[in-house]
Amino acid sequence: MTNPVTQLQRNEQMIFDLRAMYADYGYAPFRIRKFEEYELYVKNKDFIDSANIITFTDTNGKLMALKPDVTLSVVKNSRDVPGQVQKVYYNENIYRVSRRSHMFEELMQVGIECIGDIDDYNIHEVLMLAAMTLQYVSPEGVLVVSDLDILSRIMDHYWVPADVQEELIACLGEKNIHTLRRICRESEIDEICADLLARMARIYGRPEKVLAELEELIREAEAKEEAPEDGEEASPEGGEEAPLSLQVKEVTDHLRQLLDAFVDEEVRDMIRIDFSVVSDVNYYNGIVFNGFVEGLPDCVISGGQYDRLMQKMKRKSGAIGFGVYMDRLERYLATGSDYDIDILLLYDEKEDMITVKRRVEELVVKGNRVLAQRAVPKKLVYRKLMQVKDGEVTEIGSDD
Amino acid sequence: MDQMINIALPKGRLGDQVYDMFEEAGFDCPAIREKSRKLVFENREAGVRFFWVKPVDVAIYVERGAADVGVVGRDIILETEPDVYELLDLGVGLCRMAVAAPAGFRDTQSRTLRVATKFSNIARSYYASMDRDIDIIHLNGSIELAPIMGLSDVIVDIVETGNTLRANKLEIVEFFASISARLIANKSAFRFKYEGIDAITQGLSEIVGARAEEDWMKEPEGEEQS
Repeated sequence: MTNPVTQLQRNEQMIFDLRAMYADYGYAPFRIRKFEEYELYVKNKDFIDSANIITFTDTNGKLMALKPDVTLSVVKNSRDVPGQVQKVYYNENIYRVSRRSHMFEELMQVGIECIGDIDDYNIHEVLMLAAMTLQYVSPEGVLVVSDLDILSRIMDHYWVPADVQEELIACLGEKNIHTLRRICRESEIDEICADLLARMARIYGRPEKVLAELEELIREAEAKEEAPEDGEEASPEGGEEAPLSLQVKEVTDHLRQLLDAFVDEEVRDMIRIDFSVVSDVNYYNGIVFNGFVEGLPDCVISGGQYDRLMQKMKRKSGAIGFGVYMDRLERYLATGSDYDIDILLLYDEKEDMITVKRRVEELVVKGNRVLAQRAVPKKLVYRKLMQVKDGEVTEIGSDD
Repeated sequence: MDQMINIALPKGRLGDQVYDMFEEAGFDCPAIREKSRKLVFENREAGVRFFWVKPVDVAIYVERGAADVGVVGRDIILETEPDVYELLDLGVGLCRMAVAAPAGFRDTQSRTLRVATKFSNIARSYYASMDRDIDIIHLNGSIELAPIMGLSDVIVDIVETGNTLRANKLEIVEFFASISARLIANKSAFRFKYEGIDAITQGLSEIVGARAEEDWMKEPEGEEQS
């Protein structure tokens, strides 16, 4: 008999395996119904584009929505308990408008959320599970990590207004140095800051290399601050504030510590740092990351800390999580058998029904997928063509 | 080079200009200069594979990963908002996005403005930023004809010299975005072909820098002459 597990598509198998992996680390399944009150998305309309949600009026008159996202539902159903962390995994269908086709589509999303009194272990664990998920898909994948707090510390140091910070972060997300410099010029941002951010947009690589380069850039920026050109005033903080290096060091040390905790060499080898990994700073803060697989044009994993979303939802807890875009992996994971069937067994109407049944069962027991037919179906691709005649099975053709 | 970098270039004058820059940066592919019907050209030694596509399609090739990098006008980026890295302003293909109208046109704001354009997204965001009600008329060419024939009040289009506008008795109402060719890269390819893409970016960046310096040196002379 054919092993039922081998009959699973690779993406179906992956969902089972990921669920088992997340369960091994204490994550509980999170199951909710397909609908959610529309109000939840209206209240967080920047987090989820509430204009592009499928809505309907329930029998009680409430406006409902087909879930476009799981995170908000998980947050809504969690509780703030000091010292405790709620860990859940999900695999749910969500309904969104495709950025490319501009039409609604049903997407399978797998992911985890870790909500509560988050500490460094929790952050590292989520990063590790993201890396392990990526490794499951491809050992050559890369998990690209950044820390939004590094960017905000630098921009706060140079008194960059909040709205300009958002614009500059968007430029960093595109590695768009020319627009970043233009915005800095137009907003009269310190040239040292513009130069530092532009150079940060360029660096990419393994954590130790990138963090060393960042430290060097910060040192250079500080040296420029200490030596203003003739006729120029010293930088705005005028030495009253802690030096930039000290402010950034706290965050980079934290990031280094989180990444150094990867003990598995193979998983560790997948980690890169890139400050162009950014998310909406109104919702996300701290660690953010994306996972890439060679040959696929988009990231397949996306995640990060979203304490600011929690605050917006009047919650005291912190949170971190990630989602796996199964739709983007579909083509990558597709497994096509060369044959529709192993054996096409032909019989004619004179053949005894019980005999045909027995012959089919004998072949199935040997591990074949058998299709009994009286004629060869069009377009069917079979490995072997067999015939039952007078109770005997004979091979009359094959694809070999 | 171990990995080939796939480069989508826009067909036409801009593509030729940009290929010259790649060549100057050491990423040449002599076969591209030969007259042939071939669409793909490669130089294994330099690690590059070029292919020509319609300018409007370059961003799609790069976003979907069929090309690792490409060169595209900022007008296309603003219009299609592809999820790509915008690595470098190449400083060529310079023009501006503008609103133009028949000479003497006055927008009284008392009625919905009819806007003919092939850049519907750009026009929509531009007028949305001013809270102006508009009726977008999407056209695929000869945009200047629309106000002449009474199809629209104004047009939103790219303007290089302004000659076509003048020839059709249209005048600029406002310039609102500078356009030039940009080097873009696929976000995933950037991870897996980082060395190659970075080398191309650095090489082209040096050329852009050198050209900007040349232009800057020339500027005072021009002023003196005038």
